[in-house]
Amino acid sequence: MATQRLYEEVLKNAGHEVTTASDGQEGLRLAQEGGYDVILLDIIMPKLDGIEVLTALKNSSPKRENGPIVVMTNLSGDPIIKQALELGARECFVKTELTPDQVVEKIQKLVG
Amino acid sequence: MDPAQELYRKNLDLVYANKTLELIRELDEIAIGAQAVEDVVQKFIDTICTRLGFVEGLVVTADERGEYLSLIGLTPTAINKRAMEALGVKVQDVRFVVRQDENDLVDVFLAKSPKVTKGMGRLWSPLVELGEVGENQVYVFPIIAGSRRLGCYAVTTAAGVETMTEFERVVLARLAPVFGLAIDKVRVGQELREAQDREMARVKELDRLKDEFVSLVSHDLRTPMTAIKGYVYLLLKQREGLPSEAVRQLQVVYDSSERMIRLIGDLLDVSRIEAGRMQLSIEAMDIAGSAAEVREELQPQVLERKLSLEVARTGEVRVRADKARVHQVLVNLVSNAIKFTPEGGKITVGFEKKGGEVITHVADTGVGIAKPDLGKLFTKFGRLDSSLVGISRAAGTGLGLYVCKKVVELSGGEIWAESELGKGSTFSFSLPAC
Repeated sequence: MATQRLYEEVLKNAGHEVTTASDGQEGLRLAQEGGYDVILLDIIMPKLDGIEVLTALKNSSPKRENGPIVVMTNLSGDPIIKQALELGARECFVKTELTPDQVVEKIQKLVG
Repeated sequence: MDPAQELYRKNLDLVYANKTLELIRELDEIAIGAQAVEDVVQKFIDTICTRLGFVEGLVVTADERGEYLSLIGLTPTAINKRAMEALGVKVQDVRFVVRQDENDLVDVFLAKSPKVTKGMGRLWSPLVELGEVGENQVYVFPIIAGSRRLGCYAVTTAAGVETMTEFERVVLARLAPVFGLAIDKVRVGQELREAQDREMARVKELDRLKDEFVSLVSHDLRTPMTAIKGYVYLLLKQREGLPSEAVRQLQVVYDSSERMIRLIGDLLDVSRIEAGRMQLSIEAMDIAGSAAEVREELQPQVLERKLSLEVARTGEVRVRADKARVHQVLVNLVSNAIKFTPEGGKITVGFEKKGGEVITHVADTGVGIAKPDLGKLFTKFGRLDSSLVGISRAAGTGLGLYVCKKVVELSGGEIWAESELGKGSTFSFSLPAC
């Protein structure tokens, strides 16, 4: 969860309002309530994984609309990334390749 | 014998000898080309009957334990046809039980010596009792390889022919080992191929398991690395308020973590490459543009080591390749150049269009590479003995160049290096132009 805290800190410092979920199931619940400008989604998570969350979101409508979903993972399997994009993720990033500033930059562009 | 008869006799001998050699040569050729035992046997018996004027023939081979004699080839002629119809089964299902059936084929098989009998139909007993067994002479010969019994074959003479000629007897006996060798050879070939297939399947499965394992482990290694890199980065952002020694130390931690991350990536790449699972998204791209990006990225290192890095200003240079991988290769080559070039040196990246390809050259004025080391460059873990491997912010693992080579080759190009100790090196790679 260290990484989640890292991004939470950095995004809060950049002036964003951040809500976190501790597992895929909670994440899906929050996303289905909706109203988020951007959703950062990991793949490997407890309870539900990122692909399951994407699939569930694809087949349902959130109560309030959400902005784009960004998958942030440390997997670099092209099949997984391809699958995520096909299931509706706007972009996929490999976490180790980005500095915290680059993450904020990318989020800002999408919210922008 | 008078001289004329003598001459006639000698001529006949020559003709027969010739015919025998011809026949054996023909059978040898069949044996060489054959993939399956049934193939060889059928062609053998057809050839023998055609060349030597026999009317019918059949061949049986024994199983490994010599318990059964199975039909494996037969001429599609009168008695054979009647027998097969009467049995109503396929050729491969016809077999004699060696220790039980009273049969000429079985006798010859066990005795390993030939036999003459009358009526081809008799050979089918006791599997099927043909009332009309036929009138022709039947010669049954064993098929042997070394001292091993492999089976036997039988041929019938044309109607009215009462005895085998000397020539026929000699040839048929001579053919027994040829037959044996051919069957043996094909069997061994088949077994080898099957063993090879099994081995290949096993290796493929091992590669797949290894790749899965490496993927999982890479992910787990990257998780803490993200936090380390992330927080050290944030600390370095506050460098104004930190003692310079702390900043220097933090920089070392940051560089080391980046190297670790690159190594994990390289390990993953190598595993994928070896499992044949590296996927490239080939598209038309501007390699000069990529080089310019790399120049921007590595600018901090270049400045720190007081080098100059120039990318040829050529406008767009279009190639067909995977954009991310080209970036990776360029970062690798330029980073190496930075690493091995002392202060004040110069690195240039240039492009050459040649015969449907674009060759990219990364040249440096660095320490160079000794001739014997050039061959080791693109192998896995090929470390060079020149130890100018100081703490450097450049990339550099034993796997980097190996991955570059595989990536370039998978994209349809080649990679190579030229160098002179003390003067510098040039690393070049080609990609299809578009």
